[in-house]
Amino acid sequence: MDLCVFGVDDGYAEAIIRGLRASFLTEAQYQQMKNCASIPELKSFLEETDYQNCLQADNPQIPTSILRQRLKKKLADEFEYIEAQSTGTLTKYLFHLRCRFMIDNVVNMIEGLKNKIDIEILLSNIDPLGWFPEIKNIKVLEGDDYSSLYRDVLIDTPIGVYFMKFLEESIENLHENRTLNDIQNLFREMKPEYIRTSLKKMWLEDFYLFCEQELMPTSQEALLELLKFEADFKTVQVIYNSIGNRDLNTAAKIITTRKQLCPTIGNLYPDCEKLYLQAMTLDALREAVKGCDNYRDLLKDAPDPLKREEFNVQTKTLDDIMYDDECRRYALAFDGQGSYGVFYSYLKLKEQEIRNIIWLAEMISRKLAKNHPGWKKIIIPFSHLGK
Amino acid sequence: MNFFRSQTMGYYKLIIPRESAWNVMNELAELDCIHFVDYDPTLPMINRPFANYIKRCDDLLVKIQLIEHEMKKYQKKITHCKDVNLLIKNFKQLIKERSKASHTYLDEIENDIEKKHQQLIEQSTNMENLHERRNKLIEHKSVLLKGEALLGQSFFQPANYVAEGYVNLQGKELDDIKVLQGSVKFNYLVGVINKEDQIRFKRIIFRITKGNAWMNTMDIESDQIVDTKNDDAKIIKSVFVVVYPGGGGSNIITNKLNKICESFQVAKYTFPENNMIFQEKLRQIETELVETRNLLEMTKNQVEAYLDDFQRIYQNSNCSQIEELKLFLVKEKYLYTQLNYLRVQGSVLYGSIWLPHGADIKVDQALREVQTSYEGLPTGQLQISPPEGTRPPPTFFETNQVTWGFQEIVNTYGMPRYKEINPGLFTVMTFPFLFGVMFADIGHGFCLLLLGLYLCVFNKDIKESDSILKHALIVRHMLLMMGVWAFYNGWIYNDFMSVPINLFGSCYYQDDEGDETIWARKEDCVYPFGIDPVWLCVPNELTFMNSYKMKLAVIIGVIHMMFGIILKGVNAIYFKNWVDFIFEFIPQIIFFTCTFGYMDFLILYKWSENWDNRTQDAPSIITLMINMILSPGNVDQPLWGTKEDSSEGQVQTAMLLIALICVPIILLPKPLILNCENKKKHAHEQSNLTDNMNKDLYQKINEESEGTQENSQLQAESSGGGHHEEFGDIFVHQVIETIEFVLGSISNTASYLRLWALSLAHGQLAEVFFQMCLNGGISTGGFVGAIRLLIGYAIFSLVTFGVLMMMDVMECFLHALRLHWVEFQNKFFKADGYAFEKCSYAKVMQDNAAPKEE
Repeated sequence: MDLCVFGVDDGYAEAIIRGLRASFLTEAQYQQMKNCASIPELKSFLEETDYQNCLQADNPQIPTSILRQRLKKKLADEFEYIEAQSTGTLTKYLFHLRCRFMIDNVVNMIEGLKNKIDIEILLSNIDPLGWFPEIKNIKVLEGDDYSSLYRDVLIDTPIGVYFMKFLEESIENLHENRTLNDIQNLFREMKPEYIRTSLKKMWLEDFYLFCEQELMPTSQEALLELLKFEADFKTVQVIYNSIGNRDLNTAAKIITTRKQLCPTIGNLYPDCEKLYLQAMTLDALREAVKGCDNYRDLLKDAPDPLKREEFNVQTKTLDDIMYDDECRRYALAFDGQGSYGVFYSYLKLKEQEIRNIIWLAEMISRKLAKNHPGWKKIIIPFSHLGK
Repeated sequence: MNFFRSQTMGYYKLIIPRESAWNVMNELAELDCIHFVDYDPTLPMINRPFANYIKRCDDLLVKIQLIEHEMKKYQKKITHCKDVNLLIKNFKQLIKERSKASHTYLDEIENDIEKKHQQLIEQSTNMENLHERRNKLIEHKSVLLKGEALLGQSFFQPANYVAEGYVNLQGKELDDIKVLQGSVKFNYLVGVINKEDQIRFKRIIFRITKGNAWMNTMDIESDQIVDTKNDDAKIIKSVFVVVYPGGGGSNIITNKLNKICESFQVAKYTFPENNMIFQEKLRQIETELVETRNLLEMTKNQVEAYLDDFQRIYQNSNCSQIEELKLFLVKEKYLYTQLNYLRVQGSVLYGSIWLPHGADIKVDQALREVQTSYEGLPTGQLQISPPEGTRPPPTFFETNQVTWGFQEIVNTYGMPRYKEINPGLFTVMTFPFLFGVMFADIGHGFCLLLLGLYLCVFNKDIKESDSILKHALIVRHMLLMMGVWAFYNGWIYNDFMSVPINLFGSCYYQDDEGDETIWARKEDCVYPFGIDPVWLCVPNELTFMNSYKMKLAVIIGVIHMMFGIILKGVNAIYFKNWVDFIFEFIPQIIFFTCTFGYMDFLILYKWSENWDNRTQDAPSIITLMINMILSPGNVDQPLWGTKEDSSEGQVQTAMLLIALICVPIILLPKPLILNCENKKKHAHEQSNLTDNMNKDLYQKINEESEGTQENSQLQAESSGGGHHEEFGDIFVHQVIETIEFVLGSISNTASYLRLWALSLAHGQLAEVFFQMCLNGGISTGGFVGAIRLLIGYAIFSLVTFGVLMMMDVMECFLHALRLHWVEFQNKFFKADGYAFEKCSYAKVMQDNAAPKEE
């Protein structure tokens, strides 16, 4: 039924996205990009693609950071246009999508300020997709006083909800008769990466709930599937990264941290929760997720996290494997009709494309030999469909 | 005959020494008659030898665009170039007069533009800075004035506060605070903030001070602050004042507030403490403001003088300086793009070109000219050579203003194959005619005719003016001819906006026979031209007209299509393709004559027969045709002879049989013959293969060929291999062709009925408009009638213009287009050629000279 009326409100936005499908770089174009000998050459190549307009004003020897910023800006502009053209649920949905980038931005800002990086540099590096006016006010952050940051600045912002939940949870987890000092210590020791993961987990759960409650069945079908996998990937990542992590020295601490960071949605939760929370080796993790064929296959190729020091560029890390698999899923979801999955996939795939371009730009600027394994480390959107 | 078949092309090799590449190319590009063949289309432009120059031109063009943008901002009007040929001559003269190498003129221009661009940027940053300063001053001034307005003078009088203490300001008004002022010390914060940030700022202040502050804002008059970074858009800012209790533990608050201010990028100002300083400050700002205003004015004048320089039209020129520069760069870029089509080997450039027949003399002359005019420069050479690769020569038609539009109609469908009959030639006549058949109306046709005449006669005047009709000029001859035929066909149908004209006097008169009135015909009277107007008055008008127009449409259609088939035959003879001629053209034309040709014959026969007093004997043509297929040989109502002895039955059977026999002749022999030929060729090639290999090897060693050449050879081989089509493919192809022809002959004939249908629609629409708008008024008469007529006429004219003169013209145009593209051209037109693209400065410069429409 919802397929019949999908076009009434969201047809235009969907049509634009479908049109933007043509802007993805093809495999042949990636090949050409790999053949570029220098950054100016890469730039002039990109100027012949859809990225033409966003690069024209720059000088040919463009630093990768600026290149990334330009590419992202283009994506953000496209997204903003679609957001402006959308109505009702779609607007809310698209806004939810952007929250993820806002979280990233906020955490990046906090991290930067902690490391005493100048605010102007930080502001110029924020992801335009996750821009919101209050972001520059994060500067008020003093030391590690996250609660006053929340109270003064973030409370009004869309991600304030997550931040509040995060603060509450972290404080609750302290022992019963906590003092103000304890809380301050807690925050001082907290790593920005930890904040990011927790916030993102909350966002994911919230987004999942939103999709479940407000979207039409077709969109739900496509999105919940994607989100479940994403949640599972997050879980696997958390577990994987915590194996052999020196900061978490006791078993109890590992488990509580894991419990805090693993999303409470997905295919693995709650059935396998017990197993994966206690997995202390890669094999145990494999065992824990063996219920799902897909993950077992993915983990089969993953290198052992305990031998982290031995990793080099050649190693296909877990992240690479997962990106690859995600990319396939998104490409499939992109071709689904009449669902909001298109927007989500588009965003993800474009992100992947930008990552690819930046990766290649890095490779080129370092003048690595053409037989260097790094050249193969790009995942081309939609390349999975052909096979 | 250059329009009937495309011009004969010759393939030539061009060899240019590198040092004179620019001069030779410059000379050649002025000839407007060379088609350069890209030596390797797969090679991207950036990897070619002259890419660097192209890039430079592009960069300069971007700079010029920036300057143009700047000029637009200062409302400088650029004179665009109308005639580029003069400019080309000027450039040539200019370059010749220089003593240095010709291609270095680009360097000179590059330096010049870069310098000017730099200066312009400097000036504009200067402007920006001044604006910024002015903005600051205005802000400061506003802070003083608004702050005073917000707080009142008395607030800043030095006060003798008694004690420091905590005061709760929540929910208090300014007046309350003033009362408290005597007892508590207050801090204040004054500044300017963007209006859009205002609310968020207020909120954050509230939260940080925990509500213990008083804040108010006031907008600055918006038109004063200019955002120079954003094309001088106006931004709205507002002055804010925050009052919060000072002393005590409020240092933290002050710190925090400062930080907030910083993060909002607000400008803070200190407010003078007493009236005297206040007035002093105000005066100071005023004087500074005047100063900046003067400076701004000066800089602006400078920039304007600068831009005036670009705007000026120099002597011997016909456009602004900037336009001239732009066109020069466009020309230069084009030159290098063309040079990129040549292959560089050592210090020589090799290129392949197509030349129309006879143009080689012109090229030779141009090459010699290079030598004479630039002494000491080696010139290029032109050599005739056999065509390389598998691409046939390009198609080139010399068109003029009349034929251009019609040729364009054909080209839109597909470029004619090299040397194929050009349908454009016939389209010139048939297109307006078929349009006229559909748009047949004396009145409307005349309007169109007038428009066409107007455009043709006042062509020059309109071209100079800014009229909308300027865009229609290019098709003025087409419009004129369409008008002529619509007008003529209107007379044939005797239809003047739904009213027939009784020009010669009708052949019928009313005859009262008892109660009924019948129309009787005068003895031996034939209405001399067109349809007798009396048909308007009889109830069976529509039946009569429909049958008449329908038959006319079919006759025209069959003639048109037969003509198309004959052209196929002519093509086959020209290309000496005897298989096509004997086994496709001949059976096809026979098939068509025997079926639809016969139908036309029946129609004409029926028209020429006198059916007076025996109308019940006249057979219906449709029934005749249907029966011819369903029960051949049986004729119920013969067209000639009596039922018992009429040759009609035999004729029908014979026609049907001949047509049926033609079908297998179209279908079978051609694929069989082709297959035979292919086999022979294949066998021949196998024996030649070893020879070829030796030859290849020899060639490779001899020419030291590069990768590109190998590529083209590979391509040639592979496409040569493509000729060995399987018999199955050929056969299926022929089956499709046959089916298409046989079924197409029926459906296409039916398709020509649109000639009738559209004319009917046109007539009916005209009648409805006439009846609804005018008829009432005319028949009422008197004063009321006059009023009704007045109103009715307004509506009538509008509707006639909008629906009939605009929409119906377009509709008829499209249908005429379709009849040509589908029904006519599918009989013979291959349309797989590609256009001859002459290398021409004039064209590319003219394209760039026109102002872009926004």
